[in-house]
Amino acid sequence: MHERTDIEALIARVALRDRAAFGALYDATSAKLFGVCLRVLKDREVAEEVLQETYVKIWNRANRYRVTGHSPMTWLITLARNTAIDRLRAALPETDAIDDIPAIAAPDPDGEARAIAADEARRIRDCLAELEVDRAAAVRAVYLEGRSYAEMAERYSVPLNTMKTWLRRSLISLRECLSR
Amino acid sequence: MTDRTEITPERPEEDALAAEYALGLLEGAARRSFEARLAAEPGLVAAVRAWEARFAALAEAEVEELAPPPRLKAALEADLFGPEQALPSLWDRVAFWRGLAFAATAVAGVAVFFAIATPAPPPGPAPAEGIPPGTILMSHLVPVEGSGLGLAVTREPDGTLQVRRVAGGPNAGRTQEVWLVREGDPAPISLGLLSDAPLTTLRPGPEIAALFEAGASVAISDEPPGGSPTGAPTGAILAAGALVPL
Repeated sequence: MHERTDIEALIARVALRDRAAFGALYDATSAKLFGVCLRVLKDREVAEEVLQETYVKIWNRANRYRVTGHSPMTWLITLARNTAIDRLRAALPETDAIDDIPAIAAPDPDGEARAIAADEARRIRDCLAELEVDRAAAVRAVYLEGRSYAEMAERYSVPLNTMKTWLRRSLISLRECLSR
Repeated sequence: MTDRTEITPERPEEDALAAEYALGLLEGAARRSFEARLAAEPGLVAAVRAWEARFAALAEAEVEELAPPPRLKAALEADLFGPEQALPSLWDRVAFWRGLAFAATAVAGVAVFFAIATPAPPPGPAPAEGIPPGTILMSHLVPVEGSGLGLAVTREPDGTLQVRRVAGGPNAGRTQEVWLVREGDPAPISLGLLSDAPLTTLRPGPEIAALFEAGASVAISDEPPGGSPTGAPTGAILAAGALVPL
């Protein structure tokens, strides 16, 4: 994987409609995003379509990247993952309507947010490890595989509302751990 | 993403709701009402983005990379830029290089004209295999429609390559790069940038100079200032032609 700042520079150039930069961004990131799509969709052919759809969005929305305040990989992975979820639940409207909402704060120029993001993976994995094993597995299944509450309820053989309560509690515990 | 939201410790239910939204778990009315609140509550937007960042970090750490099939990139660029502008992918296509061979035939007459106009040894019979070192090679590059380029390329006995610009220049804010293309080679080799001046002299190193002996074509591509950032052509092909011995 390329350096974070390289990816950010490429996204900036893509926002200026630089096709060569788009090609380079694709080369640098498509393997990770394809992995994300495939993990959610399980079907190679569908994952290929969704990956393509994701990069069309990247081309069209690169000028909105800075507004999100995300690190470059967070932005790209979130786009890919949400596009995959949209395909999985095809009847629903897009999940990233939030992109249309302006940021509440300007992205920090010192890269403070990026430094924190670099630490994020370790923190969330440590905190997931503090949850009970099946609860951590449920959170992973919902994010990485895009499982719905109904599917999770079936998997764990519990009523839908029980599943909702159970997962919400897991998220609250996770958040408590993360804010320590 | 920093944790800008202050809603969490006091309102864990709200933060769990933001997480559910980020996970795509909210459906129907619950989702619509949450989205309506997002427009009015910046703290909620920040909470969603913070969860997005946490989960994306998890994906970055735990999802294995898998290279998509190469045809996907070509299809994507054709989708976005239209088949005509998806020129970089042409460089990968065998058919394009076959087309160059036809171009070489088409410019043979032009080459002969140059041979007469330029003081040079009379053309001898083409060697059956390979071209002796030091043979003068030349080509009048065939411009791609619309590029307006007129370029004549001569490979001198000492190995230098002279490119005469007869017509046309680089596009505004762009530069032009010269490539050596050999049939069967996976990638073109950069020979350097073309100056705006009427004559550009390029001096390829001995390793690259030797490649000319087996028969080669020269192509010009449109590139950002400073040349291709990737080492392979990234912009449109503006002109191309096969080098023929004089």
